[in-house]
Amino acid sequence: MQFSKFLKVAAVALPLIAVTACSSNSSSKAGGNGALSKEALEQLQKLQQINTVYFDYDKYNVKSEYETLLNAHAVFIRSTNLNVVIEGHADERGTPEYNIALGERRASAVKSYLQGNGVSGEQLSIVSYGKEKPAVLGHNEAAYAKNRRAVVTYAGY
Amino acid sequence: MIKFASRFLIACFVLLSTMMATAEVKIVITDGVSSAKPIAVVPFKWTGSGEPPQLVDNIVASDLRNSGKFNPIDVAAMPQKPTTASEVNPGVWSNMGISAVVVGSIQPDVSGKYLITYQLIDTVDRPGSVLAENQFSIEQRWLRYASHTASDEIFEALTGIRGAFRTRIAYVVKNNKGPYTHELRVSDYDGYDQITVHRSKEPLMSPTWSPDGKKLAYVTFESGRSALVLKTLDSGAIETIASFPQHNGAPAFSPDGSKLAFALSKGGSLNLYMMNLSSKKITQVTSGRSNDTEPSWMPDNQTIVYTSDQAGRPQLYSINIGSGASQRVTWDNTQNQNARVSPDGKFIAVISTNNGEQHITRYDVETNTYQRLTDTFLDETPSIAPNGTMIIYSSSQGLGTILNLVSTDGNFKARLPATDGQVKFPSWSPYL
Repeated sequence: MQFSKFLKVAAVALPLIAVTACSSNSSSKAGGNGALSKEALEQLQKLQQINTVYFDYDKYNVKSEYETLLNAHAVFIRSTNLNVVIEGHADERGTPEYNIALGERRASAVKSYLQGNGVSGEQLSIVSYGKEKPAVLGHNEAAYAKNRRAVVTYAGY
Repeated sequence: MIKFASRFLIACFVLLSTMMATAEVKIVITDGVSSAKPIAVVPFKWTGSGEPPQLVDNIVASDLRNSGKFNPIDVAAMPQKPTTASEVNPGVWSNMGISAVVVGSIQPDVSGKYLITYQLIDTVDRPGSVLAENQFSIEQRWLRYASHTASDEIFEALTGIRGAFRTRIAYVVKNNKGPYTHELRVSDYDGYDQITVHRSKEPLMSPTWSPDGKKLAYVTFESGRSALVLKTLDSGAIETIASFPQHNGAPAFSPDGSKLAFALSKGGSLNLYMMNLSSKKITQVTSGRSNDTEPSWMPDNQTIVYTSDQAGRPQLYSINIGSGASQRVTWDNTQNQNARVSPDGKFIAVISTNNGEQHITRYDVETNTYQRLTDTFLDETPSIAPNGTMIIYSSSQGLGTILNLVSTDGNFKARLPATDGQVKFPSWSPYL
């Protein structure tokens, strides 16, 4: 359900991004001090609707179904000077301090993926909340699956 | 009284000025009354008019019950209501299986203070003899403290173990009311006199007391990133210990108070580091690409027990901070993590996972044996009382989390349900 929602948004957002990404290649990069153009801001808002990558139990690899989503972010981030913070999260099983490691692995996987798609590591940082910020409350796999996640956030937006 | 209260007073007062929280957690005993030894705490004689300002005998009886080792009998079942040792008829108590009786009185004086007197009387071995007695002249606001002092003395006289009823607990309360979603609070061990030490709009984690009871180290995400800070309770001053990229967490003071161990992931994965608290110098303790975290010190101030996933699943390891020599400690259960070494170093409270269930488990260091202590759900973050008799921890109940108590022999169990949010990360203070 989450993923189909993403696809709908992506269908609208991706062409937009592709167009502006090309046009902004020649000009100077936007962002940094709130200098995003109206178009870039609109793209950002669309990307913020599709900013979450989910992981399997005990797994830390970015699943292929999230590549389109992350590619869209990569293109956008490359076109700006924005600082991006990737949040990593774990489900509630385990202990709070050790689960920090699980969230870090997920955030790191997304960071590596974005870097692999041309984003400068200097624009990217990660923070792990472990199990401290669950997206969904519940003691079942459906809830756990929604909490094992990494979220791409844009500093200041 | 002044002497023993002085350090407590300093900590309390400045905390009180921070904020007095309204809701409190209270102890509800769920298991273990039947295995506890019956004892009598006779209602104290009140010589003033109206109602007494505190029911000292109730506080003493609750303390003894909360220790898990004693079961104070109902007042209605008492064969007599003596208020001094000379009035106690040992035979009528020993006949009903009561081997010790507590009697006492509360007397107001003209200056507005109260004189608390108590006596603990043996009814079996040396019938009628006084095992412990004391009196305190105090102001009204110290009545609970004086009662806990009497409990400590009575508990030690009966068990040979130092009482820990004048200790406090720190914990994090999470709720969704208002902008401050996370609060670091401190209360007496029994949930009374709760105060808020710090409020945050972002998660707070892992508070832990300095061995002198004057500071709390904890993790805050208030800046949008993690930072490890040290808060001095009497001044309210906050000092940043570590705010490196990625995680700064899992603080643990060495028992002598000279060092603070913690976990940093600035190198990519979590590794243990420690700060010399006088020089502020940070040194790396473990290195490698696996995750090492949740340090806890052995009493020797030289050995740290910690969680590592170097073999895959998290298990306990230990490392000597001088030589750097490390070894694996636990080999059983699917996972063992979040170790808390007992004050005497003889056992480790640990979160063990088997068949998807995680419970507080006692791991005995010498015998290499495990004893599961709890049957609650998703247990985490154990913290051991300074006398080693009790563990406080957090577990899930419904969609929230609550604090629980379990005795280190597993016989006694209690809940501390919260009235206003989820309660996590309990940390038991040292003796204050």
